[in-house]
Amino acid sequence: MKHLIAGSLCALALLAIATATYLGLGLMEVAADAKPAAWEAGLMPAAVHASVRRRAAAMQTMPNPLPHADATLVAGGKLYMNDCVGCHGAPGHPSDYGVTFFPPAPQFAQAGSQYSDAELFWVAKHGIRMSGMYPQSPHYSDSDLWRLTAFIARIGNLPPAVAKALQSPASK
Amino acid sequence: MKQFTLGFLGTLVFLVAGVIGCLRLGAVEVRGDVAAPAWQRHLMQFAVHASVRRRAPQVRSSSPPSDGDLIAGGKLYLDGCDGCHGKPGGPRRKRALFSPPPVFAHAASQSSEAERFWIIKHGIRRSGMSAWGTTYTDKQLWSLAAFVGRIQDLPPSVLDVIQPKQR
Repeated sequence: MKHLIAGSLCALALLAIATATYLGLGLMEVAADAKPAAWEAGLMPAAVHASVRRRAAAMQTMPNPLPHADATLVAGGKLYMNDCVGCHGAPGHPSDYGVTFFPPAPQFAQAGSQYSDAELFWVAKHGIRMSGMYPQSPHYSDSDLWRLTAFIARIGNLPPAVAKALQSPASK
Repeated sequence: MKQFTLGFLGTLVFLVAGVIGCLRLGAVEVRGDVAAPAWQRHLMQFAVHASVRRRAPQVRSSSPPSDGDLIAGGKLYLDGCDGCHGKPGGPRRKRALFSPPPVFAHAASQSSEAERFWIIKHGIRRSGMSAWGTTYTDKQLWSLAAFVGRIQDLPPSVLDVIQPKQR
């Protein structure tokens, strides 16, 4: 038993020293333009989604309170084209800027989103720590965030009337 | 000895499984509008700086930047950087970004010029700092690094050119 505890303590000490060395000597990769290792690229987005799912759980069952109408999508699209498009890209136009972040900004029009409406709303409102996604709650009301959410959820599959309304010069 | 090895390996396996478990169960804080504890902020700033120091080119600018360099850098800065990092003489707070970007007019850069060049070129992982190496040439990046280093102490002739309306 004594030896078991000694072994355990040695493992803890070794890990503490290894971590301090790794961080202190600057061995941690910090370049945003370097490719992440496969395990990291697999594990970290899943961990972020798991945390968002857990934190947005209380509102998971809550549907988007806004009417399912073209007007909602057009209103959300206008907000999106104004403020989100720079990093997240427009339908047919992925953002060259968004991919220079680490983690890269998801290109919704091309890749869609794995997140539910409630999770998208939650992310837009609170932002994601240690990413370029900053909280939007100081800038937008909850209803505006729901409009944005509705738009992003449909961005790859917009009703033609909505796509047309967003492309007309009047909307710009 | 058998017991020692068992304790050693058991602890390692337990820790790795614990970390992966915490990640998969969503126990990690991801909210960008909740401040991180101070120890975490300090530790990460220290580790990031250590890494940048190791990777940045080991050169020192031979002479202080000319007004021309500062104007070139200033124009780029006011085009792409001031949204998060603030204008010369601007207000202290910009966006509530996690982690808060340094507002250089109020908190002078702690990095050397070569480190700033490297950071602008490659960006910083897990921060809002994107990599600008595909947007700007090395020469432009150096002018930006020089400008940020002098942003609190710009010659009036430079300010007149880059911010004519405010003066």
